[in-house]
Amino acid sequence: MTSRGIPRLFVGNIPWTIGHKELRDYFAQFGQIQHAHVFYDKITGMSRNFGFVQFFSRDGYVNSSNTTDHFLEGNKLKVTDMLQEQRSGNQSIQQNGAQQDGRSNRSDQRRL
Amino acid sequence: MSGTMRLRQLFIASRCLQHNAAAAVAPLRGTLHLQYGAQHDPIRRTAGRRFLSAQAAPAAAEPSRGAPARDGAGGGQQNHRQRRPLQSAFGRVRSAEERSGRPHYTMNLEGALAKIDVDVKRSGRVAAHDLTAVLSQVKELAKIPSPAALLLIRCCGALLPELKPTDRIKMTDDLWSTLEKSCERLDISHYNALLKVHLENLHKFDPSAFLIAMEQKGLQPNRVTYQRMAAYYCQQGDIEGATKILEFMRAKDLPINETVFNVLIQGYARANDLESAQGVLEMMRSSQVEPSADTYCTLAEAYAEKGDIEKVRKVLADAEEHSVTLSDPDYFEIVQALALHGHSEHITEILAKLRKAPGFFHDALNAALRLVDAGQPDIAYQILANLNLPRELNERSGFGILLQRKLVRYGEPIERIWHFAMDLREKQLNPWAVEKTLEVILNAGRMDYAKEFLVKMAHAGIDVRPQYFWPIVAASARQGDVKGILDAVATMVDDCHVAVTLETLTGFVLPGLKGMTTAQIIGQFKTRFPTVSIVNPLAVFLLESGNIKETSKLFQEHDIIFNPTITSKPLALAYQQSRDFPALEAFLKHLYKQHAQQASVYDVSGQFLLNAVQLFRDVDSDALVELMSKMVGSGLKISNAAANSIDMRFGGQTPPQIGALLSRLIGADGNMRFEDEEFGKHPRNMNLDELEAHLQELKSKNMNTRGVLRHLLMQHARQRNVERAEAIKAELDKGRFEYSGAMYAQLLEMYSAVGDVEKALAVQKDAETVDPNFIIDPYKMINLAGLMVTKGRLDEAVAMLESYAKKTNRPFAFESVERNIFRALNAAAESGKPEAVQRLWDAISLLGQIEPTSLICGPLVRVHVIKNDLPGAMKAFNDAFEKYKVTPLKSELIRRLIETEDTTSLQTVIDASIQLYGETNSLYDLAFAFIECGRTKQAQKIFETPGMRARQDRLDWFAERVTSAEQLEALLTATRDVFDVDRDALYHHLIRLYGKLGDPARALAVWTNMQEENLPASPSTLRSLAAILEEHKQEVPFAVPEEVARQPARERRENPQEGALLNFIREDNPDAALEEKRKIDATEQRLSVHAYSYLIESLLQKDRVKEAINITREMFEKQEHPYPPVTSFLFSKLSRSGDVETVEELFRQFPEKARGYIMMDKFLFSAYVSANRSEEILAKYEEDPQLLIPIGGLVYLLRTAPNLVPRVEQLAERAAVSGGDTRPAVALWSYLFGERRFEESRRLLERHPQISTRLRVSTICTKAHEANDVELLRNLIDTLREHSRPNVALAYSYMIGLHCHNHDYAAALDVVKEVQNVAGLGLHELRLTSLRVLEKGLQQTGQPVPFEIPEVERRQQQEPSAQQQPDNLNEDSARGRRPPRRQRH
Repeated sequence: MTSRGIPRLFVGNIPWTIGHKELRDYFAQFGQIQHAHVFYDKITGMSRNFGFVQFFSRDGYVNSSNTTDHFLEGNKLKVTDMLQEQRSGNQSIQQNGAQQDGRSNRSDQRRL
Repeated sequence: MSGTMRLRQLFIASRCLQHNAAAAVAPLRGTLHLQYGAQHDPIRRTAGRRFLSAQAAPAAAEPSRGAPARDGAGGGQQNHRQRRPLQSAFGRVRSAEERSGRPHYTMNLEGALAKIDVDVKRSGRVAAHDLTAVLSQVKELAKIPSPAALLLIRCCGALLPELKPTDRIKMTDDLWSTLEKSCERLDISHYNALLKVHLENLHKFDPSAFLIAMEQKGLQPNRVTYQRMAAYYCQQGDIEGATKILEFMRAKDLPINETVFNVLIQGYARANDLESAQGVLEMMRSSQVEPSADTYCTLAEAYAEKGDIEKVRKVLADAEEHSVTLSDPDYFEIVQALALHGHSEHITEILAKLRKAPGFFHDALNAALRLVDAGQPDIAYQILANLNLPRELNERSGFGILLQRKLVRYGEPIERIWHFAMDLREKQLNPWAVEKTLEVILNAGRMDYAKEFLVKMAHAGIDVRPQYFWPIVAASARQGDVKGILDAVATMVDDCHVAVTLETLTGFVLPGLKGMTTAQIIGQFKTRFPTVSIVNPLAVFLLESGNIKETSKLFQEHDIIFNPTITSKPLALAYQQSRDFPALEAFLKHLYKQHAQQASVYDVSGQFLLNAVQLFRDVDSDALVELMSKMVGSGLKISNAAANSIDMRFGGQTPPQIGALLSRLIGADGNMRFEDEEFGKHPRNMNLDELEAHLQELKSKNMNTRGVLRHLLMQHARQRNVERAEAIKAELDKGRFEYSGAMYAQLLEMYSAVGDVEKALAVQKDAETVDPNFIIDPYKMINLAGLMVTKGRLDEAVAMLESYAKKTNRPFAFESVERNIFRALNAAAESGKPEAVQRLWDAISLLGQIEPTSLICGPLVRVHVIKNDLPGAMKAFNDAFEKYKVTPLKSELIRRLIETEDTTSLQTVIDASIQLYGETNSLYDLAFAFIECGRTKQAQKIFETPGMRARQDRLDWFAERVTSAEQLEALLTATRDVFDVDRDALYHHLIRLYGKLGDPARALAVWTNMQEENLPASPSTLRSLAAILEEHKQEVPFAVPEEVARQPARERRENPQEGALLNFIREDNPDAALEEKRKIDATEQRLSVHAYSYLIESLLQKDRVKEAINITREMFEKQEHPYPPVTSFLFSKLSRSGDVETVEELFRQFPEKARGYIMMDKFLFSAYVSANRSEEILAKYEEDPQLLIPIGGLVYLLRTAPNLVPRVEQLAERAAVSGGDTRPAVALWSYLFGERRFEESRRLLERHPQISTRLRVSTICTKAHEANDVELLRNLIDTLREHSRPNVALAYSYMIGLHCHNHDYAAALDVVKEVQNVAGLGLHELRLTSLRVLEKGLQQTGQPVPFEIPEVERRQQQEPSAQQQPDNLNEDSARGRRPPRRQRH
């Protein structure tokens, strides 16, 4: 589910030390958080090392998406945009506008 | 010492064996050759060199001392040979930690096995957790594939340093009994691996029972089996037993090699006869077997066990004297021996000798783990603490944690574990060491440790979080231990002063207190934890289980204000579960009353309903309607604000009957659909067979055949079908057909290709007569000239080129004719006359600028080599190097210089090569040359160069080309001790080579050698071997693994015909490749995607688009598609030519699953634009706002049709208003900026500020490049500096590229400096192509390169690329693939 069109972020590879609060604190640097949740195993009490983050505003989402590397307590987080996962591959490539500029297509390469 | 006497006799006998019995053991000849080849090459090591190190581990010999649980410290080390590279040595560890640190939720067996395999290869270690998870899955299976079984068996030994040897023995027994039931086939390799594991685990088993069990299964022990049996007896110090085995081997004519000698050293040492142990060295020398690193290591260990450090020193010195280098794991073995036998005072001395070669990190880690078994945790920790670590703290979070896990497993005192954790933390070796250690403790279920640890953390001022206690609470809850739960809470509250959060209580504490009534719980908490609020959490807990009534009751009994912010949602959930409206009503009313008393304005019902709407609206709107009408009926009221909020939840479209009909808004499909349309076939799209058929048809109908004949002539000429082409030409001649110049040119190419100079010259004349202005392609002329030179007609060739140059009177760009020029020059070089080469060179230079690559300059050197004039060749080489910075004919030259032992010249060549291709590449070339010259020892020295990483790609490259088994075996010998080599791949090459040589016995012997090396053969290797055996009608002694659909890269070259096809493509001969394809098509075989892709690419490069399309269609029919870069190449060609129809057709046929790879919209868009149908495509997007417009395409459109700017402006406005789609605005901005309409672009940006983070600049950059407009880039950077880092980096990259293009390297360097110093960007953010261009430019102008190009990701290197033409000269494979500049830690 998205809130007002702002995609929810899936966050993977979360260190076991990180709870909801710590996840929220980390992502709060990009914008106001509506919801941050880490999943725990009810039986063992250990973190399942993934969670979700929902921003209040698009700004927060955009800011966090523009950050390529998210490091938290020694782990590199795996942050995925839930919206992109849902879209077809074709569209999601175009969504990645900024990254794509960094990559070049072959004709460009030859011109340089 | 009768045993010794018997042994000596045995060895004398076995020496005879090599002379007399060699023929009798033909299948093992390869082995014999390796092992007794000492006369020819004394440094060759035996295949089993590594075998012994495990048994050499000392423990079992001394049952009297040391805790028995710990004496299993041995084993382990030999596996370092099988390790493979680490992307980042550290990254691996970390992930291994993380993985094993948590339960697996979704992991299929195949994936889990693959992961274990990777771990084994990379770190020489398996995570125990991974293995146990797999084992429990395996038990459920009815059938286990043989290779998987082999992997699992191996894992139970030294690869598992995490576990105690006793636990490993249990695990092995468990696994083996499972496998005996369900393994597809247990062959000799499994039994040998089991023996090995027993040795590694110091397991005392009954060897004769083992043999009997084998024989019952119909398996004959092989050489490796006996060797390991002997090793077992030696491990027990039983020389008699070992001797019996050796006699047995002799009786069976099995060769006795170095491995056996090494085993004997251990045997004597364990039998307390060190003199004889030392004597084995003499025995070896007299048997012409050179003691190896293993030999010395085993001997040193023997003395280390006795604590005789003097002798250890002497053995090590002795090894050095014989220039045998001990590896790091060898030294660790000696350390281990010292530690186990209480001589730890000497350990520092041995540690000082470590070489710290590549792979040291994991060697040290594994050694540290085994030192824990040896009861030396402090030394283990010291080894770790002295390792070099990655600079990035973020990469260190796994460091040291494996050791901690093992200490926890061993139940080491918590103080020690805590001390190590804190030390790691304080020294910043691992900033998260404390938390990670706690994780390990929790996962190990040591809750006693965990509590102590947490208290220590709190006292040390480390952040202790509520969730750290959850596993402790959960563990007690699982056991129904109420006291344990309350104690954990007490630790939390009283000792650590951590808040007991709502989630702690509702998620873990309360579920665990199942047996207690709510009153009891409240009572307990009131007395023990007066500060903890329990009633609200209890309410939430009850509500979450759907019990509104109980909650209501609780609430009435305890007069505490209910907190609606935390209970509204559980209340809605509870209602959803129970649908208990009366209870809900009572509850809400009660709450309302309570809040009213408190003069609180909180809207209890509204808050509840809001949550209920959230829960119900998508799943059960009827229930929502029902709930709401009931609420109305019972007179509950909600506030205005709550109503508004609910309205908003429905996105402003609340249905008339609230809560219904919502989902209609979702799910519009944005994909484009194309109508089906038959693609009409024109002769130009037909292939040869179709054309011939068409010709027959036309003839039978007596229709005009000229058109078809013309196409047929061209096609046959292309495919060098001389006869048929001439026949058709004759037919055309009859009808007085008017040929074009191009047709003659095609014929000329055909005649040149088949070597018919006369006819080629004749058609050249014809071409001139028919159209004096027609100019034949230069490459065709060069080919012809080359042909003439081979026929000894140099003068004519030169004259022809000269007159051709006069006629064309314009320089050609020799971009793709490198090979043609090379062949022509090479033909001249054959004459051995340097002046001939020079004349041809000059003549070709008249046509255009020759780009002097290594390949093209090769003939300049070769002309001297042919005459055996090495000084002349060296001079030519040096000239070429000085002038053009190339290394022509390097490999050949190196070989010649090695043969003549001209070290000075050799040094010159290597220095030149290092300058251009880096050290690693050059040293590999040198090593290969040594192997080709039969100098394995030198090659080995090079491969073992300290600090050099293994380059599997180069090894494969060499192994694939080698045609002599001796050389390949030499390569295997030389790389034996090199870290990081995929030995299975090399053995696979060897097996296939024996297959090609028609020698199945030797191929099978390779498998035995692999067992000796304890190296499992991969499925593809086994398949190849099985295929060879079957071909020769021999029994296959193992289960052949099934082919997996997804083929590993290595296998795609297995089809020899496909190899030929690829070779033709490399030789730039697509016609021959097409012919080869036809041959393959005629058989049952299928062309791989790889071959298809290269073929299509090569056709596209020749602008043979139609053929490329046909082949692509063929792939589509098989639901395959070319590699994405090739597909893009094809589509970009089509779209640039405006071929809208074909683009649309191909898109329709494009396999569904792969559509994501290609930006179809973009290509379709630009096809329309190129076809001058811009308005049409724009209209499509105007009509359907759902379509996402490709930005690049839109910019292109605007450039070709500026009159459409107003329409795009409107589109941008509309998109911004309706959906927030920024694409049209972004494209418009790019267009305006690129046109230098800065003011307008600025205004646009002001109008649409939301696009500032989404700007795309590549179109502007390319435009700047095309217009050579540096200033535009400067403007761009200034404008975007604040907005977008990647865009700025891209603009800088283009700026560097542009300066290089203008040969202004100084300016380019300034930009690089600016990037780093002013813009604060890293070089890795730039396009590496630009940096490479700059680097090359600087090198060519003889300037220093003051920056390092960051490492390239592998993925990018592997994309097929036109520039990268594999070649039989080493230089080319090095070009474009820089040596890795990775920082090693």
